[in-house]
Amino acid sequence: MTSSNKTPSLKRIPTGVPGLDEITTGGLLSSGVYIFQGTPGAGKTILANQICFHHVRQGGHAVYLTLLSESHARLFQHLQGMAFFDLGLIPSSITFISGFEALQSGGLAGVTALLRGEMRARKAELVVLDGLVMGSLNAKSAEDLKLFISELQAFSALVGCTMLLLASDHPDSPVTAEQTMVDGIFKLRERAYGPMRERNLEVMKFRGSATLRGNHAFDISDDGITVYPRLEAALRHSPGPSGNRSVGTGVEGLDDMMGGEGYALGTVTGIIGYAGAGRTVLALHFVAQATPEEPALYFGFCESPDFLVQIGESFGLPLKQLVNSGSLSFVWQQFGENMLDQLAYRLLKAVQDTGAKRVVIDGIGGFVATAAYAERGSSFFASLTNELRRLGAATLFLMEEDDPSTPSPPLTTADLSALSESVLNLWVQTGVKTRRFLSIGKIRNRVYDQRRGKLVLSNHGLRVMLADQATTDSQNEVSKD
Amino acid sequence: MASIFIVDDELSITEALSFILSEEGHHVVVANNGATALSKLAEFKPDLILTDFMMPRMNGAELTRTVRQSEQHASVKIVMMSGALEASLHSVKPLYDAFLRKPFDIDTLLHQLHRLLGEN
Repeated sequence: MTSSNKTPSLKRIPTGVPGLDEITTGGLLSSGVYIFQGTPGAGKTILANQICFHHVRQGGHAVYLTLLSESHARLFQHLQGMAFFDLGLIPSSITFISGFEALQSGGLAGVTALLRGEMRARKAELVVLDGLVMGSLNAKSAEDLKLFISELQAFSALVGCTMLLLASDHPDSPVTAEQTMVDGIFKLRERAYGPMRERNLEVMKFRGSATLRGNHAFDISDDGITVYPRLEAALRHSPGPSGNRSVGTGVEGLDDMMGGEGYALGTVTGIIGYAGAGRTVLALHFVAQATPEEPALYFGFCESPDFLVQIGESFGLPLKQLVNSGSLSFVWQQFGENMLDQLAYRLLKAVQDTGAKRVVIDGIGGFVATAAYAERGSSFFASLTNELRRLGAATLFLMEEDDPSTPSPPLTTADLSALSESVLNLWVQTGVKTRRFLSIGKIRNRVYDQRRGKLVLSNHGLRVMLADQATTDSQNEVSKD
Repeated sequence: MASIFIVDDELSITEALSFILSEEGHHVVVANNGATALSKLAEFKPDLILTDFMMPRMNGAELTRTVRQSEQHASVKIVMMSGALEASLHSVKPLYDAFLRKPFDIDTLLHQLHRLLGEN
């Protein structure tokens, strides 16, 4: 006979909230008592309802008890537009009841008695108490509230019911004594970044399991709440060895300049240049090499996909055909008012969904413009680029710079180093005639041509010519970008 | 003037309905759940019960069934109120006289009450 000393792992109640179970490494613990705390409007009620509806869709039962809040009918109207909400599950699977009368007539003991009765009568495995602040205001002392939570905890454990207590608070209020007795505390808050605001969730305490520490952004849409686990905390996989194989740049002369190969798979290349220096055209030549076996993804914030196709076509690049065949995909988003992690997950999902081996991010400014970038910059990019490497794509990161005449990366040396294995600098000389140049800043683990090349744009596409070729071919040059 | 019994666990609802129906000249009694309502019905015979469906201790369906089985109140008019769909209350539907989907406006409520109470 053998016996194991290992304690069996605790049963989990998945929340069904995208991203949240990743933060708690699997969901809430069954029979646990959790506080969801936040300012009014932070999203507590939506979150709790989303968890309830997910739970009952798996065949469970839930009770939603309010102490003092909007009427239930009004609440249903507000939730009606959310994808998770289903009026048909009320009251057969979820019962909404008010505990205000019990609180008024019997104090916290009255609420405890009511909850115990409802948990058993409804055979609920999940109970929400919305309005803990009312309980707190009705407590005769701090001990009274402690006793209330302690009794709920004991009963929850006995009947196998998980309990969510929703509490309003002031953003700066400290964790109070009664909270330390619960199994977990989730704080929902809204952070201001100048004129922009971002919703954040933090797991302050979670007994019995590891969590992803720190702030995680979330948004509320018609789909309900989606949490975006902070990239640096969530993605910690090693990127593995970088590519043994390369994919062509699509630009005549550039592969030779880069040591006879193009961009290595599983690496990131920074393409740095002033507006008009040819970054976008260079990137379009790269994605124009897409094949069904090695598809391409263009993740952009600037020009629309239609306009990019039009630009490409003007250089003889068959982008429309590639889009139609599914070898090339464009994902476009508005510049500004985005959440940093949301963008990152959207990008990574697009790479995974398309299986892209050629990825263009146009450009880094779309990430820099987000509210949270300033405090996370290099660590965020380190995680993002590691994940892109892990996915095995050759990624071009287009970076804008301020000075048209001198290569001046918009990132610090540390940022740039974390971000890319290779750097291509593009710049412009204006005079009687505008001239564009390209030089290779670095290619990790490769011998490459360190001379500067002239970028020539023509109806036949883009080519790079080193100094000895440039004179003879300059008559074919057209002004185009 | 009729005697109306409002049964709802949401205090904001009972207070609002109580105010409006008293203004209309009705005699109003309130209970916050089915169990309390039943104990009040032992000493009081309303013309109409306006009950919520989802309540603690005893819900509107259980209250309606018990009331219909009692000799004293079997013929009382019952209006069921709920934010849920009426389709989800099918088991008790034959036992009540009207359904009001919350939130409802005062005209809808008064129209139903007048209809059931035979008032002009």
